[in-house]
Amino acid sequence: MTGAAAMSSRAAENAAPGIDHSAHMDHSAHMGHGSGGYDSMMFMTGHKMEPGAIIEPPGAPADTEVDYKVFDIEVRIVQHEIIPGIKAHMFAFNGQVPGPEFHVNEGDWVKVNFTNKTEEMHTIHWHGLYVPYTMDGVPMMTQDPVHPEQTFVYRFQAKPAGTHWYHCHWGTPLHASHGMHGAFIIHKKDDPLKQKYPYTRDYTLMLEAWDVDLAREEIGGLLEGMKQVNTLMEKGRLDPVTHGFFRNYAEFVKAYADGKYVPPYLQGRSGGLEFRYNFFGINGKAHPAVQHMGIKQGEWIRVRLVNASDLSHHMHLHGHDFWWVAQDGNELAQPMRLNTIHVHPGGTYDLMIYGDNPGYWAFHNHRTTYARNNGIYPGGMHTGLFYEDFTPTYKPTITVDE
Amino acid sequence: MAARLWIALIVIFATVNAHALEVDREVLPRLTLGGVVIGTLDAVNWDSDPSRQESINSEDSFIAMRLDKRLYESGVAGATVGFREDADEVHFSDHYVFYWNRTFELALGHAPLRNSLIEFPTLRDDDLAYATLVANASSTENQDQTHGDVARFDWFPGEGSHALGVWASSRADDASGNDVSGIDTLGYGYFYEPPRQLRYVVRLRRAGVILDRQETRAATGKAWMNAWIAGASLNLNDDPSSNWSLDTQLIRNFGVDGTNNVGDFYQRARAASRAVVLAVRYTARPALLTRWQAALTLASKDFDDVGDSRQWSLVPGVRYELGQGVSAVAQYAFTRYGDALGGGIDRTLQIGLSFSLEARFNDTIGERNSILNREHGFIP
Repeated sequence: MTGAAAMSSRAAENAAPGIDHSAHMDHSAHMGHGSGGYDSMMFMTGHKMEPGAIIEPPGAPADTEVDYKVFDIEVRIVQHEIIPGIKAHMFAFNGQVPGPEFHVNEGDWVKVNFTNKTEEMHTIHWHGLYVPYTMDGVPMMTQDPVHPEQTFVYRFQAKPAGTHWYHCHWGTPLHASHGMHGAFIIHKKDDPLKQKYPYTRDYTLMLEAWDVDLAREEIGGLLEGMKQVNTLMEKGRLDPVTHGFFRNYAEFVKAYADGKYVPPYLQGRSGGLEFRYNFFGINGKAHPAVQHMGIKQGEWIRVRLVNASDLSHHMHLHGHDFWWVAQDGNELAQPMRLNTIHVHPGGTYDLMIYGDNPGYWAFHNHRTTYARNNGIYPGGMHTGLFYEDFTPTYKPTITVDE
Repeated sequence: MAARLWIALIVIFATVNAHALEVDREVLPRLTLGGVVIGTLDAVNWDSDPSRQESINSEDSFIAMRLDKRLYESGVAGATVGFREDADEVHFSDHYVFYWNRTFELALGHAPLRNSLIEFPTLRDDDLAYATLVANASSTENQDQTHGDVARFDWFPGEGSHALGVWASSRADDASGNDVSGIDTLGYGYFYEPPRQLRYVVRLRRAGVILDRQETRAATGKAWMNAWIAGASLNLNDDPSSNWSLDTQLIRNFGVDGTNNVGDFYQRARAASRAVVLAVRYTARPALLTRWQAALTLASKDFDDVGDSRQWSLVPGVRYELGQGVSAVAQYAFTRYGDALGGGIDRTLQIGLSFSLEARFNDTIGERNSILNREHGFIP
């Protein structure tokens, strides 16, 4: 990725040209589309892997038509350390968990070259963004999954403004939570929230939950299966049914009725793969490895909470109220003054905090079982709001086992 | 004085125990349950044992339990216990402890002997035991052919698929006067074994060579008997949905000098011999789900110093997966004996049902040889 840091805005929304699909039809000639659209490659006879292929779907302006901010992002399997002593293999955007944080301005044209450096399939879903549907990243609904060593080019205009995120939408329960997630911040020109709450620092907190044991077995199982799938695909011998692909529901029903397909969810096949989350974290780390937020007396800070897990979290700030000002990127008509906010799966929540009570303050999940590391409290989703301009009478240290 | 010492020791132990209970919880081990229960209806026509009649056969059924834990620093240690049925008796076949890390693995206790290299697609492990393993020259019992007291050390140079192993064993004896007490086996081996998860996508599934040195009773006293085992299991095609594979193993047993007769089991175990086994297996895996398998196994063994001593078998078999781990099975076995072995033909037809399981509970460890650990960095 070329820009994890904030990028300057061109405020291009006013100059958005009309969308010309024909500009990209040539690029996608191998995708098996006819004049009225294109079909999934998965059903083409002899469909192959095509490593190195660059998939450029229609739906957005060509490079020559708008000035894209270009990002390169890839996914690979890494060893991610949650806290000392606990490492887990995860799918990771650019090798980091969470993935790089995008900062663009509303109206910017964004081009993301997404390369799959794993043997598994992936996509990127731009959660909360108004992208063309061909860029939405839902496999077999809006695009084919990105095959190993392929590059899929996502193009879209950054809108609406606010706190959003991105994640893999293939094998979502495992992929999105176990590494493939990151924040996507779209800044608004003359942001009214900044005028009302003149914050000087801006924190993004990705809230995460991991089952490192299930992830190990599942990623291992995926690799075992995908090596076989990829072997077949390399030779053009992959029957789409093998991978659970069907042209429509009727075809699926018939495949089951004919005994050609034994669904993996049947009681006779499903191993009951239930997540039992044992580690929880913020921005890839669990307490005490989570970074603290800084604040000074008289300072406003903005905190963007993004729930990248499929659990609900209940974040409580000690010693302060905060103002809940936006949800899912949208400014609330009426901000709410709270000290505990309920953060639901997939949602983003923006808070404003004013520094008026010097000290060291805990900010943690009040579902306190999620503030543990493998069952040991304190840990997990637990950070702090640390004032930087006062003389403490009690200096905080660290405890990891109460 | 002695009483005070005992009191002091009791106090010390009581303190240590109380302290441990307060600080450390019992960490539940990972539990892996594995086993096979197989039941067949056997129709037989044996020249080698004319009294043998049709039967209901559940031999070779077993269940084993592996318990293991991560250690504080690195590595994993645990224990395996297992029970196996043979001749209407249940044997405590496995009870050993083990340790492994990224670099080496060791085991100590009553465990499988390393006297064979390749598993063949016959219905039961011992179906062709005369050719698939180096026999225990001190016992005629089935369970003593496959298990014994073992101390084994394997080293994985390069932390990959290659392994060098060395082991010492005490093979059981049957108290028939043929016994050799103490450590009676030394073994050395090289193994190539990629992760099992790759078995359908690699050319070579397994290969290796073993030198098995067994001390046994001879006419002149104790003598060492050397046997080489070499084998390989490989895929014949590169289609994981319609897979052809081949398993082969050769055993060259140099025997004990002076063993020129093969009239009983002990003599056959000690006589110089050559055994070869070859199996071709087809596995139908539509949509990458194993549904049925057909295999043809050919085994042959003859003795160097005894004329017309060849024993050979042809064993076709099929297995149809009714559900995950549940199979309808059928096998026909044809075996011909050379005159030195009594001559004649044995014919066996078996039809039945097999239930196998491998279930893991509280899995917090992973495996040394997993794809993730091998290809994406080892996590201890």
